[in-house]
Amino acid sequence: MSEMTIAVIGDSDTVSGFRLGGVTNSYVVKADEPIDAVLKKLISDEELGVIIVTERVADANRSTIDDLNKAKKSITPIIVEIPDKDGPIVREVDPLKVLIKSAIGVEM
Amino acid sequence: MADIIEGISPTRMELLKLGRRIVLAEKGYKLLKEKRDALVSEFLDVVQRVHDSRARASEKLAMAFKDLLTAQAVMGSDAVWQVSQVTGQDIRIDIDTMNIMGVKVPMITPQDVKRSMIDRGYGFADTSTMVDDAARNFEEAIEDVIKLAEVQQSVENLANEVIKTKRRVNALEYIVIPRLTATATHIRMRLAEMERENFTRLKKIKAAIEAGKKAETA
Repeated sequence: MSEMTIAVIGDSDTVSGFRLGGVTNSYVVKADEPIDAVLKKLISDEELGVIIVTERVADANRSTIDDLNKAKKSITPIIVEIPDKDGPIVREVDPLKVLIKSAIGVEM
Repeated sequence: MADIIEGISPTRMELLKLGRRIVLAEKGYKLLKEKRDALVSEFLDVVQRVHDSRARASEKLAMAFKDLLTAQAVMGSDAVWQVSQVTGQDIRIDIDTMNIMGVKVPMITPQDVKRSMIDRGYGFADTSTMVDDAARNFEEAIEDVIKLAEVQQSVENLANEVIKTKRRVNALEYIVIPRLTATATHIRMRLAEMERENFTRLKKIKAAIEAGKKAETA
């Protein structure tokens, strides 16, 4: 059991909301801005357990995030995507469905 | 008929070795199949939890954003931004790893996400109660987001393990075991063939010797 912190990356409204909620480790970025540098800095911190990213920012940085998830050796940091103030992005292909399909071979 | 394994000499020794390998492969296949089935059922369970968790987090966040918007409307977004910069206690979480069928999954326990007004750090005099509402809702939302992070990571780890196990099961079922049995059959037939060859050779030799004896006595 190890004690860890949370970080949030998103637009200014998301960040100010999460700061109010108690996540002070925060980075304001524009929706289509690359976040490689921020992520690189964040993953070097071993205390960091969860990185919260808005869906819009995550979509703009999909390949970076995928690479990171593949490369990481321990479980943390977990990158979790959340809807921003405009609500969740409706996707044609739900990544969870894709995962299910590849794991058990049938759609659900 | 599957390919036979190249480079194995058709001897009784090799046949015995193959027999042992077949037994081992079949045992492994059975175990892996059981592991796969257990993993899949666990996986489906976690998928359901991801669905629920995501719905709950989205809902909570939507509510929190609505309160934030109200606060921004009442105080102005710059003022809310200023308040958010004044920070109290940071949220900390405990991350533990749990083992499901050999798959490491995270278990996250947030420590006091819901804070008292004082711990939030900002002053009361110059802030609206809307900010308090927003802060409280965000605290709740963060709790759900953390839970979502946990199950999401679990589902990914489990899926990878399911894929890996499935590949192993299939490799054993469709390649390794058929190849081993085909090779064993091949050796068995080769040995039988050698037996017959030997038998006819002996017959021939016996006939030749007898023919020689007859010629001598004659």
